[in-house]
Amino acid sequence: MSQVPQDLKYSKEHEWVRVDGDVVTIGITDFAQDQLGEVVYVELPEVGRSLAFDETFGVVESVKTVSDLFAPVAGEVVAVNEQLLEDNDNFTPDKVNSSPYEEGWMVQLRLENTADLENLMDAAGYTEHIG
Amino acid sequence: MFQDWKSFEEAISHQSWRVIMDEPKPGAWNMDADRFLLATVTRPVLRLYRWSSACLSLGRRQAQEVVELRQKLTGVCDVVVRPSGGGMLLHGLDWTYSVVLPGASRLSIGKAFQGITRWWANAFKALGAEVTIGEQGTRGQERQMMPCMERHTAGEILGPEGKLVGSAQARTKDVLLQHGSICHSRDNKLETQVFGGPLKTSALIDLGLGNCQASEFVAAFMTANSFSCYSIEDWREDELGKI
Repeated sequence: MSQVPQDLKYSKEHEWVRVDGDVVTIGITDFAQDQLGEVVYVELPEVGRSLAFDETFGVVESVKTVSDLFAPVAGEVVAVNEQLLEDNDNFTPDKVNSSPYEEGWMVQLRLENTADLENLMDAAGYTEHIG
Repeated sequence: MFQDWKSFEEAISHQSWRVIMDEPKPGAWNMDADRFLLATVTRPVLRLYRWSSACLSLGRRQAQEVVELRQKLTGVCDVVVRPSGGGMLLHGLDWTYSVVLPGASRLSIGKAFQGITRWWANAFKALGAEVTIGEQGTRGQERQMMPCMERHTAGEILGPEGKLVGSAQARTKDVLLQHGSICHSRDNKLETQVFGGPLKTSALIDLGLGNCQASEFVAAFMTANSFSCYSIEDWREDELGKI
């Protein structure tokens, strides 16, 4: 049974969003990491880049599959999880599997439009979405 | 949401596939053609192609090694980056396939990977080859350093000497592309130049399929999997202008 924390919001593309003022933290859900399998590589955007809603902002590679990541809200990238990046001394992409909602977070965005959050699902809606 | 593989397989069996059988082309063109399909397809596509010269293809995460490898392998083979994941594959004496499926990007990765490789296993069996499906995968960081043909993922097609097909996937929001290299015969000298030694793989020539033509592989793939509706459609001029 996949974990679906109550305090987060969720996209149909299986990303979670944690809201803290006008900054949101984004990662992929426990369900998504389970479907992907062992994550071996993550590509993330540069800090400062502006992302439109639904824009591809990176990729996650697991076993033999490269999958695009999509911005669940629009905003400017203010931080990325360096631990997931290959050129980091503490390169640990498997944090996406072992701790998808904490150490496996991917990017932080400064929200462009708080109304974007209204398009996301709550925990109950996402639980229904994944069946 | 992630779809159920069986339902998807049932649905796709009623769709009209496009089949593209390309003449041998350079590595960069072959990868651009796959990227074009990944970005544009609206119906299932099976593309079967060969390579006009020896070429090492790298998985997406190995892209940063491309400059160094091109220098190291100057005069030996080309080096290109695939849109998909996985390890290094040496092309030249292989058939390469691309199965491109719109509406499939939310299928479970493991089930889709195993399902598509099973389609190929069914085709090889229909042609009379004895192949099996591997159950055990190679795990951990060790796998990242190994050539694709020497590392295993559950569901891969094996012959008597080892892996016969090295496959990997790329996914966009809607489309799944799985391509794979089907080893026709081995080139121990080239493998030694590229990998430092010959690879332990199976090959079509050892399975009695060395003389099979593209059209025979395509017919076996479609018939063995009950994909009754397909048409062979070359690239259109407007598509070639965009590749």
